[in-house]
Amino acid sequence: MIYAKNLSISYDKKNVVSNFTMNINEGEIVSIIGPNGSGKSTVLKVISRLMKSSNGAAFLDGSDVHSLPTKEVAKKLAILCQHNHSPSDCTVRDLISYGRVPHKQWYEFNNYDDNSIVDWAIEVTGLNEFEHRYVTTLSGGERQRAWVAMALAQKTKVLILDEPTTYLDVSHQLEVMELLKKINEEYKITIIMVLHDLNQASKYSDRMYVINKGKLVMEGRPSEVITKKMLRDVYKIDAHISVEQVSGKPLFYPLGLIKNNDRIEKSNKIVKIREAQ
Amino acid sequence: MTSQSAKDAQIEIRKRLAKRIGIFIAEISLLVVLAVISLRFGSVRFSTGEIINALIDGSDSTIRIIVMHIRMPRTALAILVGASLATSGALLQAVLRNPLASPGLIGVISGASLSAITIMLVFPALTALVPFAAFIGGLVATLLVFTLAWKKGMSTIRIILAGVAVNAMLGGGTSLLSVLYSDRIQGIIMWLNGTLAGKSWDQVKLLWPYVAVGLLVALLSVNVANSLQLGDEAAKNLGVRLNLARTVLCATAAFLAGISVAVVGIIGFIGLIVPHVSRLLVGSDYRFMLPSSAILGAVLLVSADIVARTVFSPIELPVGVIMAVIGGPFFLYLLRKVRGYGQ
Repeated sequence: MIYAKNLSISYDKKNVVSNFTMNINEGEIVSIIGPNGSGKSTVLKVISRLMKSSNGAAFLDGSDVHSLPTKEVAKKLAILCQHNHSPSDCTVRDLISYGRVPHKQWYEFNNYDDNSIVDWAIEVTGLNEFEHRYVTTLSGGERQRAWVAMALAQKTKVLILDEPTTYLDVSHQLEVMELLKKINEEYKITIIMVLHDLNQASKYSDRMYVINKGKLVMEGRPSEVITKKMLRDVYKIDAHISVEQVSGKPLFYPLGLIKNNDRIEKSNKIVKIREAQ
Repeated sequence: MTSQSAKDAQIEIRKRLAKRIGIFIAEISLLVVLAVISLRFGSVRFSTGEIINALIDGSDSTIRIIVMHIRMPRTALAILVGASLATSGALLQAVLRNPLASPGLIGVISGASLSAITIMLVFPALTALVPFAAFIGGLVATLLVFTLAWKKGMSTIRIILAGVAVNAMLGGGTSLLSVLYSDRIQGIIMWLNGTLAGKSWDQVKLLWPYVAVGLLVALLSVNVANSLQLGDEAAKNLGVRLNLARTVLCATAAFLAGISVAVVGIIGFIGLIVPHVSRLLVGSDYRFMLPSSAILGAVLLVSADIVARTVFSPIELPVGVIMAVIGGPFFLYLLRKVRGYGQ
């Protein structure tokens, strides 16, 4: 569905991502994780044609996203960036209606079918009671759902999200993640997202990509990715990893920062001792 | 429950639409009333009945000549110019996503002034070419701003900064000429403050096809303008070709402002304030906001022109001055009255 081949990306000649390859199948939920400044969001921007790569290419259904007409891309792929703003008098319904723009000529207005799709997006995201509220007056979680609804109204097969849960409290985080899961299961929409919360990523992803300093470190199912070694190498933290009973997915609990090599060796020793026990 | 909420939604949507249509009707009525007043008042006053009689009559009465050949073209011109300048400002505010955006910002006005003033002061024999020179000067300056702002695409902040810099340079040129030719400055004061005095059907005939084209393009771009309000990335996600959209909208805005300035001189303020007034009245959805801006721009210029030629009659004041004096307080009133605006 989406294939990123040897992406190298730079901002003003400074290389941010190098030789990044990623292959995403239809119907998957994939998350990209990594420390701040590792290039996660940059990768999302390139595969969704918001940015150009300096080398390599990103393919959507087999064609280079940058060579496709941007409107065609907008019918297949929706991206929700981290910071969004809407005019102060834009209602939830108005915002969601914008999702129909890619399906219209530049001079055309929404018709009955478009409005039905907007109704559907409102229904799926459970925003019925907020439909006529101004987006700017909603709480963070509701606002995020409204933007997800706009992306849904685009009727794309792929939804890309950049940190959809950052700045939300835990219940709103869960609300957004459950919504994404539902969208994925019921409407077979492929979801690619950058997440900071590793337990969340583990809980909801089919596969994860770990990126550090612009390079792909590892890729695989959550149980393969969320390991002591990865947390130590990439995040420089010492962590305890258990398996969550219900889902069988890995759950991590941070123990502390690893400050220098001594600490790494020390923690390695502790790990070895524990493993031996 | 779903059908109930759907019903509520319908009611809510209709209510908002009804309110907006009501405002439109009010705006258009206001324009008609003002146009009639504009035909009635001046150095000589006529009643509406006298005007209608004179127009139906067909004889060459004085009233008919004054109304047909002096006041009508003048009113028509005020409507065209007011609508163009306000639309231009509304488009620029969408593209640059900046509440201070106006035709004055992208160089079109300062470019037009410098070339018009150069002709009027340095080559007074060529004064007949002023409209043409002003139009070209305005477009060249705009082009300069956009060329300077272009760096792998067009960022709004670079357009604004390049505009400020180009305006400062061109403004310096204008000031320099004013100082060097200070003996001739008297003749250009009216032009610099915008005037509709002494305009005839010739100017209207010259202007209307361009205004029609410009307004048509603007009206067809309302969806694009709306998408741009969501920000660059969101607009691009919706399939808007950012650079193309910005170029088309800015070019239309520059064109509308350029032709207006060319014919009537510099009238600031409309392009900056009217889009805000319109937004306060009908909201920021460009499908409503843009046509409303055009009508309000016409309303404001027609009323400013009425005041300009009646208060100190027979002396005529520059219409730009009047506009700032009556438009400013009105805008401040709205700004205070509508809660939540500008936050």
